[in-house]
Amino acid sequence: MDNMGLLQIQIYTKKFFRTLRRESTVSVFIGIIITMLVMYVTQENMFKYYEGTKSGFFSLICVCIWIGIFNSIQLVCREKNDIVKDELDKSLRATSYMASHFIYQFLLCMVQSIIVFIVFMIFVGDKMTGSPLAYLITIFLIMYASDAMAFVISAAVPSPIVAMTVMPLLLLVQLVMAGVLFELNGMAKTVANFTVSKWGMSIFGMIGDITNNFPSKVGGEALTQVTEQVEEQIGMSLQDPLTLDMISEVDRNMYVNDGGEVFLCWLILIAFIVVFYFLSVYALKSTTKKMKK
Amino acid sequence: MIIRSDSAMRPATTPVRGAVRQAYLIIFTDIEKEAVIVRLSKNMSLGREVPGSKPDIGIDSPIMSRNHGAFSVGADGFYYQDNDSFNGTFINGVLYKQNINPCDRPIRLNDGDVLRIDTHDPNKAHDGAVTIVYSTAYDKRSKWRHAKLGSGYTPIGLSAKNLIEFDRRQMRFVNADAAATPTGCNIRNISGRNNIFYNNRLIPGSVHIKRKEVFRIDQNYIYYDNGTLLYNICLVTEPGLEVRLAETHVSDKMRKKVLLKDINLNINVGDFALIIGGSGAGKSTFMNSILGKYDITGTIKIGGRICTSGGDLTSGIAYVPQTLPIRKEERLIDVVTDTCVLRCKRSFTKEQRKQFILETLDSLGLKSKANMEIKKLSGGEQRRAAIANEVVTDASIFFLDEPDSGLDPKSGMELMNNLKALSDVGKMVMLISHNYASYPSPEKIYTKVIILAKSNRDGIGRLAFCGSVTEALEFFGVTALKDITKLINPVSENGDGRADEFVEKFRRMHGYG
Repeated sequence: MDNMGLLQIQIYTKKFFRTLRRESTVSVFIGIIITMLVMYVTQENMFKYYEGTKSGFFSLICVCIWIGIFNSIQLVCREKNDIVKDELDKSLRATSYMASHFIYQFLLCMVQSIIVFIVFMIFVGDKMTGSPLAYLITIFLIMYASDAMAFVISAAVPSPIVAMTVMPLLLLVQLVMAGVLFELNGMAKTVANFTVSKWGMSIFGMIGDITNNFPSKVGGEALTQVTEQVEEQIGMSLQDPLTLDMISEVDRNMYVNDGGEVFLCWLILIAFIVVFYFLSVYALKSTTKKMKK
Repeated sequence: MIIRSDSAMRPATTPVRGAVRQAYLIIFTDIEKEAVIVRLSKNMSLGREVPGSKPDIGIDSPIMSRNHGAFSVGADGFYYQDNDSFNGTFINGVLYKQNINPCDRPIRLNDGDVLRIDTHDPNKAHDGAVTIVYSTAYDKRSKWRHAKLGSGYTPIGLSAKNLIEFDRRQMRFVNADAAATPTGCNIRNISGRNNIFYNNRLIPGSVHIKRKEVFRIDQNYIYYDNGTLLYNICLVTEPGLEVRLAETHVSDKMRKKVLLKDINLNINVGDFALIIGGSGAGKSTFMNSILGKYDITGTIKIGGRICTSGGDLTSGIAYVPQTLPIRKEERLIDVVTDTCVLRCKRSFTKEQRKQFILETLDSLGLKSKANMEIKKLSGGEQRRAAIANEVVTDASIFFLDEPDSGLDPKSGMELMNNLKALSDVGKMVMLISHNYASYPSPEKIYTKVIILAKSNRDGIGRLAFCGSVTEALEFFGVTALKDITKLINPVSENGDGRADEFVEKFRRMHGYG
């Protein structure tokens, strides 16, 4: 990138700081409220039972993805036709324009991540397992990758209305593909590898080591019932307690950290961000190209 | 004044003699008249024009001797010698006169030297005083104008707010002011830039000049007498916009659709051109063809440079579309500053850029709104903000697509005046407008009118006319511009359907096609 490209990035980043400050403040506050709400609901069973911790992480991922997508889904498409197209016709480069957006969103996501992390710590910090810094980095990367993904949509669609129509679909795909709500098989399993939520869930599971640290609540309750029935039928107490492993092999493979996996998953999320940047540049160029046919 | 010289008939580019640069004398005698320009081409005598005396440069002044002085050509330039005249000759304020400071040999002249024939009163100029400037850089295309000084100091600068407004391409910095005094005029160099001269010496602060004296800002000479300034403006007559558009088309997979055909016209530097035509005549297509947004067959030359595939928006062309291409959440000053930094080709210091931007906003009546968010400006102000955002790029060609749409006639007229002021400083301004009928005296606003018409035969837009407003009225045989669109519009659109007739008439008049 030459001097003009760098100058454009500098100017447009400043421009976004001026023009997006107000709405960014609003989105930060909304982020705080959503995180508080989610953590309030999930805190009881989080870091206590395997299922509760997994649901808690899944909810946290939903919050991060939601915040990230909402940060950027309308930013490009709302000014693309009237302003950006004209600026691209004159001297602006799509790479510089998108880079400026990415820089601004990097900082915004950083602030939002810290706030989400603080709320997370307030609710479950006392019983949390794993490195707090690792959680913070993961929250940031999930949020920023989602933000970057929404930029691709924003650059590709013609208007904010279309963007907001596409957004639920985007969110839904991410939630389904996290592998928490449904067990993924075949094609879905392959597609899941291209979602932020799947890798985010893996990282959280690995950091908290949830398969080893927390008992299964479902398994525990079922085992108590079976033990009671057996003891009632034989008329005496069992000397050796029954055991029941309710954590699937898939989950064990997904959340077990044998060293270096967390770092590898972070790199995958970073790669997503880079790919989303180039995709958004391509989408912007394609949809704003000159009238020539 | 009588000039006995063949110099006026020789082409300006012909070298005088060998390596000697061509030189001019700019002679000021009367504030009411233009300065007289004499091209020095040989040894020339200077004297009073009386019966029996025939100097090469004869000036009718009572204080001038019959054989006052002589210009001669040397190997390294021109020389002047006072011929023992009664009043002598001041050269750059120094008197050369027999018995006082004899001019015993010719004095070599330098560009900007001021020769003056006057009496010797240091405070008062004689009514017959003559001021002559020797210039090797004078542009013959200069236009001379008068400006009346008001009370107090009157600004001289680069924007329309000044009494004397110079073209930015002539000089980069001007910030001076002038005030008439009982004996002459006070000049102040406000900016402190090194480009204001008196007697060919820099004026760092202020100076008092007598009546009938001259000072210089770069190559612009300003002569003072009786509360009036006579000055030259050199409108840069670089090549303008030359359109030879055989065809503009769009292509689908299977077929090509022609939108415009046979558009041949020239827009000169300083033109303010109105583009009109019925709906579908191709007004916006014409603009977009030049902007390179359509495939064209033909040639477009901008400033003599061929842009066959259309113009390059990054090189000196500004375009203001119908929808305002600016972020309305931003402050006006931020928007124009960013644009200036990114797109203006001139190199500025931070302070110079700020001054340039503020002058631009001032010229468009937006200086007081500089710190306001654009969304808080009125509709007309927002339009002007969009124009200011292009003016700060220092573009030479401006295309505006219906800049006055949605504006009331008063705001529209203000906008037209702003655009006219742009063309007055040497920009080419072309605009599409549907509100032109609501502005009085269009012939005083627009220097050219371009009329496009949709052919009844094939529906393709063609040029029906290009010329002055007066010529257009005559060509179409109407009394107002608004009547032209009725003539050329199709019958189905309540017109007279005579588009092809006028297209053919104009084509035959100009012998193309």
